[in-house]
Amino acid sequence: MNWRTTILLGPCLVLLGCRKDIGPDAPLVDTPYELDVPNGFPEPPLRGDNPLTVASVALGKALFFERRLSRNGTISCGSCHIPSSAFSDTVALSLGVDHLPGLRNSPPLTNLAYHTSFFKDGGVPDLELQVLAPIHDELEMDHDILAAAAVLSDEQPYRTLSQRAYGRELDAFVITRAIANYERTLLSGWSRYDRYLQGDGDALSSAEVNGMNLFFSPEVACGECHSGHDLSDHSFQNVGQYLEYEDPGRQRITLSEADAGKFKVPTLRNVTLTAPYMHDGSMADLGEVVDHFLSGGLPHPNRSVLMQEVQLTTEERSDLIAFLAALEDEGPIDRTP
Amino acid sequence: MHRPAITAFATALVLAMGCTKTDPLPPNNGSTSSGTLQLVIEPRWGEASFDRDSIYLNVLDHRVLVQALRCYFGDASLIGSNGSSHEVFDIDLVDLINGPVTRSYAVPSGSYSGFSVGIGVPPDLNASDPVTFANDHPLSVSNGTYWTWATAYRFVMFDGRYGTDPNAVGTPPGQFSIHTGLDTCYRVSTFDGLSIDVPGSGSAELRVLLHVDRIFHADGDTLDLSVDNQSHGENVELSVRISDLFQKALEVE
Repeated sequence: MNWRTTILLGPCLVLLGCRKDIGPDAPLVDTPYELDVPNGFPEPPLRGDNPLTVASVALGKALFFERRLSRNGTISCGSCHIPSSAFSDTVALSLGVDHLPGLRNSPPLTNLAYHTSFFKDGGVPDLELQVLAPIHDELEMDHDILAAAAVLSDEQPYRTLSQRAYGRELDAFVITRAIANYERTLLSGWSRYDRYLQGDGDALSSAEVNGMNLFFSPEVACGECHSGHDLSDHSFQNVGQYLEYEDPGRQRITLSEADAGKFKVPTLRNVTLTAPYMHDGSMADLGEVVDHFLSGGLPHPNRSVLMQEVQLTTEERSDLIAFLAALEDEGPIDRTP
Repeated sequence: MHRPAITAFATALVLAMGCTKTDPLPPNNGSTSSGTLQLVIEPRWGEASFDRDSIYLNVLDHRVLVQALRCYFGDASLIGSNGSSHEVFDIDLVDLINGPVTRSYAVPSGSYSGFSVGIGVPPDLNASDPVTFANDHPLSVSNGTYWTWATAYRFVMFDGRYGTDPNAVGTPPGQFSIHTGLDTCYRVSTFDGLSIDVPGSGSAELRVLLHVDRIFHADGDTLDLSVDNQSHGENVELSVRISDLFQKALEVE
């Protein structure tokens, strides 16, 4: 066990050990994890076959930062989904084992509990299945989850948590379920914008309010797709970034020409923390992104009809960016022990 | 594949099927006894058995060294002379690179006139979570056949080396790696006019041939490895062609 695992697992085990209603290896399926759901958010749908429990979340968190899930022990999920960057990365394309760049920009991992498809092309229908992908992707962790499980399952802290959470030894099933459950706890809804929505009129400046009104106006229409509590409708859109896309996007999954160059609409929560932007990380700052959208983008055949040129004054553009900055969480995203 | 497991599963399945309203009868003679179907899947090149160490000349006179030849078969059924269908297995992963593969399945004794088999993973199973299967199951993640990005299985895995100079010697320089997958590539082949008699407490053999040479050419479609040499889900057109060619390369002897 490495020092990081010790730090992560130690408090969990102490807390679990203090409980009187469970034995050392008793499954904790009847001990639900209390999700801290932001005000105004609906309760996220949870899976009946993978209950959100104290032990499963603790185990998932430890595994999320476990580098031995990668082939050469150099990277973990948390290497490319950095907590201080809203669980996204700071580079255009994250580097996997052997420093190989991935195919797409690492997205933030917030509010995944509400998503019904994963990855920018939506090829994965649930969070448990998603966990497998980066572990096996040769451009990411390039490992065999069975081999990783064989190593980790021999270690007592993992053994104990796995038994408590799932009543079985740590294996591929447990790894995918536990990490998925930890990711489900990463909720973002703690911004000044949220406080404003809850009635705190002073939470946003006048410039930010003006930017918000522009954002949701029919003319600028950002809010057509960046809507709802996650500021994304999770649809797939072509925003005219290129005339010819190297990455087919959604087409890779649907095989339909009509989906070429379409990518899942990202959340804009914590957008100031998730640079660089776009599916390939090709835009370095928010100003560049805003200018692209205000230009209407390039006339790709699949470009969204919402991508229209909009003329804003310098001040309006500045207000729009100020509003985006107000989407940054004031409190922690990771609220686990 | 874990033979005892599939045998037990097939037995249980056959027994369960015998209780359903849709398929209440054994093949054609009222027998409820169980026999064994020996399914032999044999790769060939031309009229000879396929040899993994041979460098072959395909229809375009390209030198070909096949290094991987694996595929899933799904929803295999024997068809009774009265048209009834009896599942033999739901899924199997077959590695043919080393030559013929033989499987044994418990089936109701009787006479059968047809055999149906899917090439690939049937859509309902293709949506499975691979970590929910035991390591010795055909759909386990341990087989390395799962496309995590698409949450779907590869169907046919056909890899090797090729060279366009028919007179060259040594290992061909080019590489091909063609893996089909996604539901659009699933094919079902039905072989009629067969005579398969499975005796009670006895066994019958069914020999399925895979003509590897025909994967490169059939019914006017020719695979040119100098162009068509890579597909891992992104080259859908090639995947579909390979799926069709592979289907046409199957024959029941």
